[in-house]
Amino acid sequence: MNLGDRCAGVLFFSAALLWSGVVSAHAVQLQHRTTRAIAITARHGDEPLSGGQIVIFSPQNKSTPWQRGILNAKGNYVFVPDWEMSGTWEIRVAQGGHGGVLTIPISDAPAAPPTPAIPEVGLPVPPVAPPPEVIQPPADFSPIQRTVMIGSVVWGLVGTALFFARGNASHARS
Amino acid sequence: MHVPDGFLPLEVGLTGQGLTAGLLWFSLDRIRRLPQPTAGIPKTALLTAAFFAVSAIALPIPPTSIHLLLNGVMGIILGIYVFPAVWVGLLLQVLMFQHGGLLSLGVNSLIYGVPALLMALLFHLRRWLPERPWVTVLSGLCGSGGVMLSVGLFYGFTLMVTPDYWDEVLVRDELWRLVVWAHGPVALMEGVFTILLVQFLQRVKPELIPTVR
Repeated sequence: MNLGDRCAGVLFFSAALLWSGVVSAHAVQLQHRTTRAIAITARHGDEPLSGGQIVIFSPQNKSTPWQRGILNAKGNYVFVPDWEMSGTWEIRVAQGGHGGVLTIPISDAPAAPPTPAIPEVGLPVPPVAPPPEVIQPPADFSPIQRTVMIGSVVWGLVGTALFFARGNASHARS
Repeated sequence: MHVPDGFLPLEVGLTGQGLTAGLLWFSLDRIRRLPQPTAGIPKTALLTAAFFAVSAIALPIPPTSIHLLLNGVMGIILGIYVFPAVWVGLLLQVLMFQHGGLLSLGVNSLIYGVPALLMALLFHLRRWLPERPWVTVLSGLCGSGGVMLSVGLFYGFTLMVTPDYWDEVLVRDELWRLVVWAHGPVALMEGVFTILLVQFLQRVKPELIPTVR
């Protein structure tokens, strides 16, 4: 192999390396990390508010949305707030004239999850996500409770009707 | 179909409260001038109970669920008593089930109460019309008209006060799909129900329908 052939081989090898570098630069990089998020669930009565709009305001700016999105078919939406922004986050959900406002107080940034190492092997263990913090929404009324509440109001109004009907009848007799 | 609190600018909520207070004062003043102001309270209380109860009964009309409004039929039977009745019913709905809100109570009272008052006036047209078949026609018109006017007010008002950060195209689409179209069957049902109720009351207890003077 003469010098020219060697130079051509080196040039070809370098070009191939360069080309592979270009290719890898265009490849999609997929990564993942475990993080802490807030899950919102919106319902109207017993039905999920599927497809409803959701707008999230950070504690620092209550006029310009920090994030906007659409609820999924089950009325759920998950977002990762900026945990450095402590204060009250405001979440607004609306669909077809129905809507609600939810406030979530975030006092300070959560402590970074520990990254323990296994002494024998010396390999770091991936961070473990903290257990999910479930915030129960205000309890909705059960059907029996609703029936009793409606019954109480109706009872009161019927009593009012009877009271005034009796007064009017006695007034008419006199 | 209640405007919730938190979506209403403060000045709009307060304007609604002011207008509602004015209409309440007007209604109560007119009631006070009647020969027997308490004579209409029994039927007002009973229809307020019905108005409150039907709001808690959801009728599934896919893709949403709606409830009866009854403001047209209330206007026919209660006349000038209707606006206070609607206001009390809506206040009870806010306090018991958080339907709507205290700030938006004024706006919601206007959305339900003004069509009810207009239907009361419309039904008085029977004074200049022959009894048959115009009472039936007017009953149906008032029953359906109350629903349609309330839906129109709700649609227009919601679009008017919707802040810029909501997707307006989506809001408009949702309102058409979930409010306007979904209340078509309700308007039809309430029209038929009002015709039947007025015919029944004319036979059994005609004094329940306000006399035209």
